Amino acid sequence: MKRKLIISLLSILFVATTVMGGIAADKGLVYYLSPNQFDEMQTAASKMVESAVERAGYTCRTLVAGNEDSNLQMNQLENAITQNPKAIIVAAVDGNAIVGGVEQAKAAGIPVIVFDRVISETKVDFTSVAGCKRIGIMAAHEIANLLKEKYGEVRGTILDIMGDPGDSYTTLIEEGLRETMENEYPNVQIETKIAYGWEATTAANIADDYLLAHPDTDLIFPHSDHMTVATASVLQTKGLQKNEILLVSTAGMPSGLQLIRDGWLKATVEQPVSAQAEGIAMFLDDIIEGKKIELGPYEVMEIPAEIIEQPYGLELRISGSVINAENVDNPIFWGNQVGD
Amino acid sequence: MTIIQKKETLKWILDNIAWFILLAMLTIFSFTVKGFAQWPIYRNILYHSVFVGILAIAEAICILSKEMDLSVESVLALSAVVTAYLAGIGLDASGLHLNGPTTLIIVLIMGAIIGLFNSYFIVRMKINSFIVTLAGYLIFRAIGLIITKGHGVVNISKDIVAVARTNIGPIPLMVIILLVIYVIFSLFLSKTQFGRFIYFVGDNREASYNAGIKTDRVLTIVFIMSGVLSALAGWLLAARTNGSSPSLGQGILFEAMAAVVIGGVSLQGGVGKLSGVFAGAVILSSISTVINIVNINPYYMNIIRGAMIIIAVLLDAIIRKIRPKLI
Repeated sequence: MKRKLIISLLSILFVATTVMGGIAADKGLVYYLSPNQFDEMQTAASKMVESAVERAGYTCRTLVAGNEDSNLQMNQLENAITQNPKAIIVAAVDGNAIVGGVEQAKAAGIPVIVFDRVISETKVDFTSVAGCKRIGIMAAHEIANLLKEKYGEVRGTILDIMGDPGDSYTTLIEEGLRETMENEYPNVQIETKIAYGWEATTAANIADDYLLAHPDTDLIFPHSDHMTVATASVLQTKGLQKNEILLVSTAGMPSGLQLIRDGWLKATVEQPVSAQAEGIAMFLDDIIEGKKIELGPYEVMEIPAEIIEQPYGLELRISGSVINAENVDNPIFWGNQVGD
Repeated sequence: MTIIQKKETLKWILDNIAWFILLAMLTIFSFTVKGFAQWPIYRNILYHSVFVGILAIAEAICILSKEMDLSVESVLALSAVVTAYLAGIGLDASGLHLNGPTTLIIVLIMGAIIGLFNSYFIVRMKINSFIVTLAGYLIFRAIGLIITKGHGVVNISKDIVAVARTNIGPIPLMVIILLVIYVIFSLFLSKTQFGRFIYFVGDNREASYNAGIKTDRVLTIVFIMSGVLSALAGWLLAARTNGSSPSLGQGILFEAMAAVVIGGVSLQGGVGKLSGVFAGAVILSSISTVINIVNINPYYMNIIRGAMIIIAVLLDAIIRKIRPKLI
């Protein structure tokens, strides 16, 4: 009798768990529109958004816009709307080009959540960003610290290698870097070059050529770690020793963290991808149910964050972190989280 | 000098016009751009033209036979990924830590198989090479992304990286490899019967077939050569960047095509020389290098690059137009 009771209770518990689990995983469909599959960070971001959304109880379907094809992304958004999902999360290829699609989604009553790349020309339901300009500012301060270590004062010359100028990630970093340098460290000379398409060999060639004409360059700042790997390879080919020309980067990719461990990269300013994804999951139910979200400070994965009101809607802004030799193995960084 | 000799001299100049454009550009840059006139800059120009240069040979051979291979860029990218995957030590590497020669053999075989795959659809199924290789352009890079799950792989075998970092005297080994490949393929095209068949097939396929040339066999081998050369370029690119990243080599197809056109290879097939293609690749590399060392607003770079390419091609077109009138 007692045994039957235990079995019955366990059965009820199992059924209840399964049903609850079923309900939890059946809150509905959420689309994630990713801008490309060639950027290591975007590949990781897709996995993290999918994982965070599914942990919040929704089914996540990811669509990738080829290689930053804004027209394809617009088509994908229109197709997603026809499936009447609970929400659409967008990392826009082009924040202006997609406005029409965002407005169609809103007209269909589907909340639009912006991930990583701001859409400022129309109102959206929620935006989760790292603050790329803030990454540029943090990089500027880190560069200033390194130059001060070298000269005892903040002065020197920097080769600044932007990624594709069509990507707001790099243009905002540039804005943050330039403004900070001009206002706070006027003795630092910056020469900017562009690696179109974020192509690593192009970045390597730029460094290779530029250092010949300007051998007094103190520091190279490629805007992404994958370009820094190729740039470090050029420095090695030139027979330079570690830190003879300093390297600072952004993103926090696994390859960048490895370069820090190897001693070639002094620091990279992490884009907190996993926290950005988690930030969406934290507020997903409220956004879908149309509940009011309070402004003010929050913590996402123990990282300080803040929700502010922007002309385009609520924005969750999460600080990036400076990763260097001292903290490179911290598991909180997304570059240490990706793998199989 | 007799009239005939004058005509021959003029013909030689016009046949090698890409070299004169290159010479003019280098002279102007050397006298006008501060820091340009030094051996390391010229060395860089040659070094940076290696990958475009090899792909341009692959493309030129296809165009000479009046076909096109749009998949060369993706084969290059796939080859770099496979090399990094097999020889890398990173998180997304295979863990096999294969050495240089082994990875080279593997990617060259892979390139040959891809060439065979392309040629099967083009030669046997009679599908337009533009369509087949456009599909290849999409497929082969995607296979690379699947292999490494979209991640980059860093730190590959030292013997591979050494190829990119070794100099023979003042000349990088990579440049020597490029020159050797150009010499071999130039001789192949101009001195062998098979090379001449490629020109014949490109000039008039039907007449070539009627003359007993196995045109299907010629085209199959052309695409296999294209695949092998693209794979070799990818292996060298992995050496250069000490690994691979998902966007590696993106856009290089257009540079390779530009080098072929600037080098004087007719898109109609059957006309052109690899020496001109080499000059075309070096012209493009010179433009990039001068942009890299001068202080200009970076947003103007592609405009300048595009304008200089148009000037070079226009000049070439004008001279080719007046050539029949002069001779």
